[in-house]
Amino acid sequence: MSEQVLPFYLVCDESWSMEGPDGVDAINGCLPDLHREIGSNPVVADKTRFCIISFNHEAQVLLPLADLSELTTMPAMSANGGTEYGTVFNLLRSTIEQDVARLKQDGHQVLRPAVFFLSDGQPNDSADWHVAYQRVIDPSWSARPNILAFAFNEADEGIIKQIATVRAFSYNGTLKPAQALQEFAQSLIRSIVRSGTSGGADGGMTLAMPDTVPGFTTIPADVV
Amino acid sequence: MWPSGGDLRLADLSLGAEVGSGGQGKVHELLGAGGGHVFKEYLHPATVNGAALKRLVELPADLNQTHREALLRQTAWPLARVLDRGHVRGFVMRLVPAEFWGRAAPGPKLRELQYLLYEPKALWGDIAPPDAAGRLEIARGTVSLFRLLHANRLVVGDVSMSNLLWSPAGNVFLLDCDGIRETGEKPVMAQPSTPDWDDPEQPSTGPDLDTDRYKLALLVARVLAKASALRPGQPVPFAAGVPDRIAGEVSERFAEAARPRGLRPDAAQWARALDERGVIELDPLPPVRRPPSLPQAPLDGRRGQRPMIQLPPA
Ligand SMILES: Nc1ncnc2c1ncn2[C@@H]1O[C@H](COP(=O)(O)OP(=O)(O)OP(=O)(O)O)[C@@H](O)[C@H]1O
Repeated sequence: MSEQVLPFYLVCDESWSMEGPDGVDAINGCLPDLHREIGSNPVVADKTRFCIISFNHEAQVLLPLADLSELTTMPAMSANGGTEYGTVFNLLRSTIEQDVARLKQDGHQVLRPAVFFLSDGQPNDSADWHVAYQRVIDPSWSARPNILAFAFNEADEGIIKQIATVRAFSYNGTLKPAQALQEFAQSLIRSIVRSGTSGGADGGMTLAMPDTVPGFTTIPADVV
Repeated sequence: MWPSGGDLRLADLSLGAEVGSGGQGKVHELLGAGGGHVFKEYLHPATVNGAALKRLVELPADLNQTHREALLRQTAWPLARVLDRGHVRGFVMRLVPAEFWGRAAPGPKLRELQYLLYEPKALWGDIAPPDAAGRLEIARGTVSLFRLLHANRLVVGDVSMSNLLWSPAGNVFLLDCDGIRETGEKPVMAQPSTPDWDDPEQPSTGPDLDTDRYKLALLVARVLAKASALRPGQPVPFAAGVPDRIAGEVSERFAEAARPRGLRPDAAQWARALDERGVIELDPLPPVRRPPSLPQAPLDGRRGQRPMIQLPPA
């Protein structure tokens, strides 16, 4: 058992506009790749954990934080409903809190979690989500995650920039939507693999982030 | 034989599929004349020390024939630099030989050392870690390769769970050889560190032979114990089937790897600890201080080669 672990959270929009092959199906199709790539790499599987949270107007932990090499099934996303950010940020905060506590109890040293957030629309709760979001990035909360945010299709680049804490990416139409979503998933896989195997200056693990993702334009995150 | 010496021009290579990528570069398969070889293209060629790379390419020619053949057989040694309009872009090396590839769930995967350090999973496909005898063979092969490298004052530096490959037949193959440097020389490029494979006493000037000895200790003990994070000072929980005599000696050498720099067991000591034939215990000798700077007897590359004490018949 590895002492250091780095938890990854895929937080994915599954509102109705994400329906079909240019939406959740493309991501669902990549989840087995993610499972095979990471689950077959012993060091990466040992040092990272993976969780899927999906949201529309509600939010749920689809896949509780797990060692991918231990899984035999993964839940699929299915699109319907509206888009709200407040509920998902509340859920993200409480989920990370519980997960980190449990990992520590198991004797791990937990590295700052990484969140890959993908949304394709405008939140309907535009007035309210900021409060929940502030709790996720609260500087006094030691487990506050690094957030990489991806704007897909209609999503507002300005909002995505506010959500990202380290890097934001905006769909730019240079690839078909399904391909761009595959690239999104590949960038997540690569980030997990690299993070699990390459060290920082102190000899420990560090989060390896994509600089560029085909189909998306990298935009600097807002400085908060 | 390809390449036939001297630098290659990027424009003359015919590139096939990408076979892998890492923090420093991308590795492409070569087609045509370069078949059976790969091209490692640096992501940041401006940071490459071209002279150091040239030196590495030329180095095998300076070795005796036995060492040269063993080195080229067991490593992805840089065989030629690749230039583009006069600038170093990367180098070519052998494609990893077939015996070091496995078929895991996602497709072909290198049989990296890491598969020896964990309980096997279904997703590993045909990468089935060997039993104790196989593990010993891999440990011996690695030690023998390090003996060769160290005898020639070559420092590996980034010894890790992904840079050493093993085959079901017990052979080993070293990757990432552009990180190797001669003692006291600068590497081709600043080397990344690998979590769990750091030497806590590595000098600020970078890894040296002593660092390699520490990492060799990690490697041997971890392979024999199927443990990914074991450190000197901890007991070695040997895999079932490791002979008691070897287990005893490996435990002692591993504990000694926690000693200060200059006092860690060298590759020759590891070779003796792992030797099937056993050793005759003599009175303790004073610790060897900094043996790397002493002239070393040439190796003939065969395992277990050492002076034998002739005992009179009982
Ligand atoms: N000789 C080879 N034959 C086949 N594949 C190779 C060879 N050398 C390297 N590779 C593949 O390419 C990948 C990257 O190569 P390498 O490790 O040399 O790059 P790197 O940038 O130095 O990586 P790292 O960040 O791990 O140090 C390796 O993980 C391996 O899968």
